[in-house]
Amino acid sequence: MKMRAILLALLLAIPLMSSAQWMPAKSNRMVNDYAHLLSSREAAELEQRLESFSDTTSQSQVVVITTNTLGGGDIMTVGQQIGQKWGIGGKSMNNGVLLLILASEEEGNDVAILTGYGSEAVLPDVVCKHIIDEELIPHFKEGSFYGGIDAALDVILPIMHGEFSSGDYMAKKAEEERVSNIIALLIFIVIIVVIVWASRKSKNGGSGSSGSSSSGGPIFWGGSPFMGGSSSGGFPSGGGFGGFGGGSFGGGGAHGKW
Amino acid sequence: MKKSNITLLAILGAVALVVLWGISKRNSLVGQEEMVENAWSDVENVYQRRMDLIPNLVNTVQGAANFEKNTLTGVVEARSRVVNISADELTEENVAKFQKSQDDLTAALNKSISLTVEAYPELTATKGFQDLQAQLEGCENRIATERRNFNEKVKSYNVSIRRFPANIIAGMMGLEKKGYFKASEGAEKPVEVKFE
Repeated sequence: MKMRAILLALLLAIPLMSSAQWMPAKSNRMVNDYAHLLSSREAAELEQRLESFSDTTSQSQVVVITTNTLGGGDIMTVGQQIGQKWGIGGKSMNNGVLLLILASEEEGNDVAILTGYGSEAVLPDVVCKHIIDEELIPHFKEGSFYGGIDAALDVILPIMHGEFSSGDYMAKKAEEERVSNIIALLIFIVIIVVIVWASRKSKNGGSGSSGSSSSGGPIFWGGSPFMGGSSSGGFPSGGGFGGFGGGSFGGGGAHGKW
Repeated sequence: MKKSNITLLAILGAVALVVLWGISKRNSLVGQEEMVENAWSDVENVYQRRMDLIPNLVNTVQGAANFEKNTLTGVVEARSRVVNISADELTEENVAKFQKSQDDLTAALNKSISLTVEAYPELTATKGFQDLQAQLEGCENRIATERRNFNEKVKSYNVSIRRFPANIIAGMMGLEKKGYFKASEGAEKPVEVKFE
């Protein structure tokens, strides 16, 4: 009983804990300058560059977010959750990268590069750390946020270009699973149709009184293909025009204060 | 004659629907259990990643001029005490044991690193040590992420197997509640690896 009360309290506390942490609503832009660190021309230039990068690669998406607060959260945790919730990068390749910049007098200045599962291989944490220390922070210290982001992209984009061999394989696997789900669904529909059809037929006093008992067999065994069917979790809601691909983030990357 | 046919058909139809429901429920439970097990292997991977870094840490620190062995003994000991459990025995007790052994290693790592920083300040300025810092931090972030992910999967699985009427199917399959990572000190946040 006590155990249950503790559990309940924990369950109730979890949404509270995560709601305190900063979580911007999913946007449809690559550059999200919530802290107004960029001029509108600079933001537009970066946006254009990153959109065309996503279009010309297989949804390799690099997203820039600036903020004045993390709501008390840790920058790597907040970044990982934004990347995951927004679904930056392609769904099967997980080739997303998030550049998260915190500029705040109370919470300090912090910048993080978060890598999606698929980007970790081409952008290891150490490389991220070096980009932060050598490209971003020197410019940021001079007050040039555009300069820092631009210099970092000069490194990140060429690195991310190419190298998708394991991702190709995963895309293929996801496709196979989708096909097997569709087949299972079709079988289910056929069974329902057969049941409806059989009951309607006997209601109409149709021919063949043995039809009812014989249809019992196939209906029952018709269900067996379900046995092996695997259920793949929720389907992605996003995707499509200009949107994020649904990539996942595992906490890879690095951050640095300045 | 006709009427009994319809009754028979209706019963057969109802049975068929129940069986179909049972099968699809069974499959969704199997799928959920598989998701928990996958999440567990992700947890193991990130912890393994950290364990694999420990030899690097040892080598880097051993390179220091006046190296003293006992700086790192705690880490090496804690590492050897790490418990491994396989994905099909994720009971609350086992997960708690695993968590305890890994948390001990975290504590030992932090202690040794602060000892190292104190004893060999010149070492912390080297590129090798700084890269190691980035890697260790990355490990802690990944561990926090995969633990969170695993807990979410376990939570929805535990709810599913206890909710009526799916609990009947779960009982028939012999499914049991799985353990998850308890929120210990600073749980949902990655552990800070302090070097400065």
